[in-house]
Amino acid sequence: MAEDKGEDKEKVTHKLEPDTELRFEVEAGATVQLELTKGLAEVFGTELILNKKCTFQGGSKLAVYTFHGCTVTLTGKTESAYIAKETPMTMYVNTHAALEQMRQKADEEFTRGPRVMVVGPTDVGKSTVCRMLLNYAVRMERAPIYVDLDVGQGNIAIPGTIGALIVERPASVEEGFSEVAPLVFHFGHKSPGDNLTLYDLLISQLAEMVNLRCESNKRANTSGVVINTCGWVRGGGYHSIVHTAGAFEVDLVVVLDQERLYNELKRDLPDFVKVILQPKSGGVVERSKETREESRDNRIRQYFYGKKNDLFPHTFEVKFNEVKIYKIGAPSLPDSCMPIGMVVQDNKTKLVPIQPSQSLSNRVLSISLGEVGDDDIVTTNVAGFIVITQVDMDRQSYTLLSPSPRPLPRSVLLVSDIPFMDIK
Amino acid sequence: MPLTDHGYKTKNWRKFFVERREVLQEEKVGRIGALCRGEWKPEERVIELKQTGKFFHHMGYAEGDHLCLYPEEALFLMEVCSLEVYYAGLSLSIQQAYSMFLSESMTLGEYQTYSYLSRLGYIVMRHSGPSSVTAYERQIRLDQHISDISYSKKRKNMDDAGNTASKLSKTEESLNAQSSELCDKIPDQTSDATHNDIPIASTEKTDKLEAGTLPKKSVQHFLPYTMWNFDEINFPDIGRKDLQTHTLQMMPPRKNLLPSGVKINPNSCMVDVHKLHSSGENATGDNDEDDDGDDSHIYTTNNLTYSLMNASVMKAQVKAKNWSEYKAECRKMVTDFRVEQSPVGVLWQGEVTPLVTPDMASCTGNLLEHLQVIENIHQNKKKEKLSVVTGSRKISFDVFKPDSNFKKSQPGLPDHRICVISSSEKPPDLGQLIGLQKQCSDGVPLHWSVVDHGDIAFYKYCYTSLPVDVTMG
Repeated sequence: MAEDKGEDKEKVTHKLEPDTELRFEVEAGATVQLELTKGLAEVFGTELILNKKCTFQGGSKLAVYTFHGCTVTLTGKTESAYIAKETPMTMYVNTHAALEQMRQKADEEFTRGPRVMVVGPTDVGKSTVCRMLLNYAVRMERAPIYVDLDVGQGNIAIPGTIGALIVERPASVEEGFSEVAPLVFHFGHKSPGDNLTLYDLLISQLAEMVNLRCESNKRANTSGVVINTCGWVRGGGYHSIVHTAGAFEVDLVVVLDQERLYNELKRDLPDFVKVILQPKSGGVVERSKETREESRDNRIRQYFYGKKNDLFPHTFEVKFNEVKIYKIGAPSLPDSCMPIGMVVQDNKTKLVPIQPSQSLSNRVLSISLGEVGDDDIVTTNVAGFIVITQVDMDRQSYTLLSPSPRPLPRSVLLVSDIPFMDIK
Repeated sequence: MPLTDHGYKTKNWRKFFVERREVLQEEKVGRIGALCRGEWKPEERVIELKQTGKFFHHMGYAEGDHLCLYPEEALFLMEVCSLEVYYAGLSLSIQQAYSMFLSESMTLGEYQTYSYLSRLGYIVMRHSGPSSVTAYERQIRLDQHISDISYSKKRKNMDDAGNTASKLSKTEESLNAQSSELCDKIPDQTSDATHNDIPIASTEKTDKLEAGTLPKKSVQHFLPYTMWNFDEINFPDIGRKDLQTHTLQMMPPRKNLLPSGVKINPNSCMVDVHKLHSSGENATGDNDEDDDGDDSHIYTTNNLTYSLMNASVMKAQVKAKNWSEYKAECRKMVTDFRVEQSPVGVLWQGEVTPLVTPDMASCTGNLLEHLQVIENIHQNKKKEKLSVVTGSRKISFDVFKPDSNFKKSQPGLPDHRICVISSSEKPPDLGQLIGLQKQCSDGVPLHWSVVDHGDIAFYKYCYTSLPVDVTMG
C-alpha cells in the first residue's frame, strides 16, 4: 500500500489478512526480493524467516500464503502482484491432516505409510501441491519419499528423467528441495508418449527401488510416498497413470481439476484406493509452449551453473574410444518387418549404440552407473549428466561440459532428445 | 579219536582267549629318554605335561604356563610308548587310561579313528569350526600374515563345550548340545555371516523335530499393508456424487496433525462445490501439450509385470483387500482366461486338473521343472531355498597331511574333515548332510569314518547328476 521510491528498485509493502495469499510473477530478466517484516507466512509449505531477504529470478511465479496475517515487502519489478482471498488452501491442509492421520496409524501398526499420487492435466499446480504436502510432512518430522515422473519438467535432476528422493528438510524458498543423492533414471525424451514402453518399464523399476528403500528405512516407510505425474491424461497417458498406481501400490489419488479423469479413475482403480477430486488454485498460471521450453532449458542450465549462478562446471576433452554412447529405443517398425517371435515393444527398450557424429553436439547425456556389457543398462540409474558441446572428428574427441572434473566416473553414456546450448 | 563239535569249539575258544591274554600282556619296550611325563586332570579332562617331547610339534596346546594334551592325544602317545600319565601319584595303565580318558565328548569310535589316522602319519586335530579365512583371503595369501591370537582360546573353548556335552544323555538332548556348542563357538570366531545362520537354524529345527513342522520362508520385498478406513479418515473431495450442487463441509483437523504455524480457519471449511465445478473444468480442458495431439500410439501391455489389462473388466470381477491380493487375483484371472480359450480348456472342467497350464510351455526345461513333484537338490544350489536342516552332526577331526612345516598356531585349511559314525547307527539323512555342507563350504572334503568294532572304513558323499536325454531349450 505504501510505495517507497528508493534507489532504482521499487519497494512495495503488502499487508495480508489471515487466510489470504499474495501472488506475484517476476518479470523476465529481472530479480525480485521478498522479505517478511511481520507475522507468519509460508511459500508452498515452507515457512518464511522473519527479516530474511529471498531473491527470485526472472520468470518465477510465487504465492505467499498466511494463516495468521503478515506484512511482506517486495523489491523489484513484478509483472503482477495481487492478493487473493479465495484459495483451496484449506482443502490442501485438510488433505495433509488426513495423510498425517494415516501415517500415525502406520506408526502404531508398524505397516506401510500412505502413498499418494497427484494427477491432472498440465498447468493445474501438481508440482506445487506435491511440494506443499511434502513440506508439511517434513514439518511434522517425517521423511517422505518424493517420486517425480514428470519427464517434461524434471523437478528432480533435469528434464528427460524420472527420479525419487527422500525429503528430510523443507524445500528452500528460492531453490526447492535439496537434491542430495536422488535416484534418477534416464528416459531421454521430454514427453512420455515418445516411448511409452520404456516409461512404464522405468516406473516399475523405480517402484521396486522405492520398495527396497522402504524396507530398509523404517521412517521413510511410515512417512509414505508422494508421486508427481506428468500432464498427459488421455489414452496412453491414462494407461500410464493406472500402471503407476499399480506399480507403486498407491492408497490415494488426488485428481486436480478434471472431473472426467476423476470418474474414470474411480471406475478403473480397485475399491481400496481412494480417489478424490480437488480444485486447482486460482493462482496457477497457464504456460505457453515457449515458456515451457524456456523453463526446461533453465532447469538444465541450473543443473550445471546453479540456481544463483554459483556453480562452475568443468570443460574437458574425451576421446571417442573412452566412452560408449547408447540410445534407448530403436525407431518403431511395423510388425511385418520384425523377425519371427520378436515384438515391436522389445525394440522400444533396446539399447542401440550410437556412432560418433556431429549430430551428437549440443546434446545432453546421462552417465549410467552400469558397465559396458551389462544387460540391464536400460533399468540402471544414472550418476549425473554432461553436455557434449563439440565433436571433433579429426582428433576423434568430444568436448564435454561436466559438473565434476575429469575423469568421467563411468564410460556408458545415454543420449537424450533434449538439446542444450551452452551460451552464457 | 575225533572230538565232538562242542568240545572242538570250546578248545578253539580257550586257545583264542589264552592267545589274547598273551598279546595284551606283552610288554612294550621303549626308551626311557623318550618317555615324557604327564598328569591327568579329571576336572578339565586334560593331561598336564611335565616335560614335552617331539610330539608337541603337532599335538597339545599351551594353557597359561602349562602344556596340555587332549585325552585322545595322550592315549595315543601312551600306546606308542611316548608318554606316561600319572594320576594320584601312580602311573596309569593302558586299560585304566582307556576307561578314564574316553567319554561322551571323545568316544571309542572317535579315538579309534584318531589313532588309525595318526599311525598312518596324518596330523589329526580336533575340529575347530569353519575356517575364519575366506577363499579370497587365501588367494591373496593374507592368511599367512594373520596371526591367530585367539587360537589357544579356541582350543580351550572347544574343550569346555565338550564337557557340557558329556553331562547330557545321548538322545535328542545331545543333538541340542551339539547345536548349542556350535552356537557358542561360532560367535567367538570372525566367520562370515552365512555361517551364523546355521546354528540358529539348527536349534530351531531341533526344537521342532518333535512337532514335525518346518518354518516358513520369508517373502522378499513384502511391506505389510495398512488397512485404511476411509470412513474415519476424511479427505476433502469435491467430486462426490452427493455433493454436486451442495457445499462441502470439511471437519477442521486436530491440532496434532498440523505443523506449527498452520491453523485452519473454521469459516473456510465450507466450500461451495458448485462454484468450483463450473469455473474449473472447462478452462484447462484438454490442453495436453505433452501429448502433441497424437493418440494413435498402438499400445499393448503384454510384457509388463505390473500392467493391469482392461482394468475395468478386472475390477468388476476381482474382490481384494489390498494391492498384492488384487494383483494375484488379476494374474490368476488372466491365466484362467487363457486356459479357457485354449483348445485344451476342456481339461480343467473336471475335478482333476493338469499340473501345468499352456502358458508354462515356454521351453521343455520349464515344463519339466513344474512337473517335478520331488525337488532335486544340487550340491551348489543356493541354500536359502532349503529349509530342511534337521539337526546337525558333530564334525570330529580336521586332518592335515604330514608336513614338517606344520604350525599348530596357523594350521591353515585342513586337507580333510572327519565325521565319526558307528556302523550300528543310521546313515545321515539329507537334512544333516545339507547342514554339514553349510558348515564346511570351503572346499575341504568331508569323510565319514564308519567304525565297526575296531574296523574302520572311510566313506564320502558325492553329488552326481544323471544324464538326461531331453533337450531343455
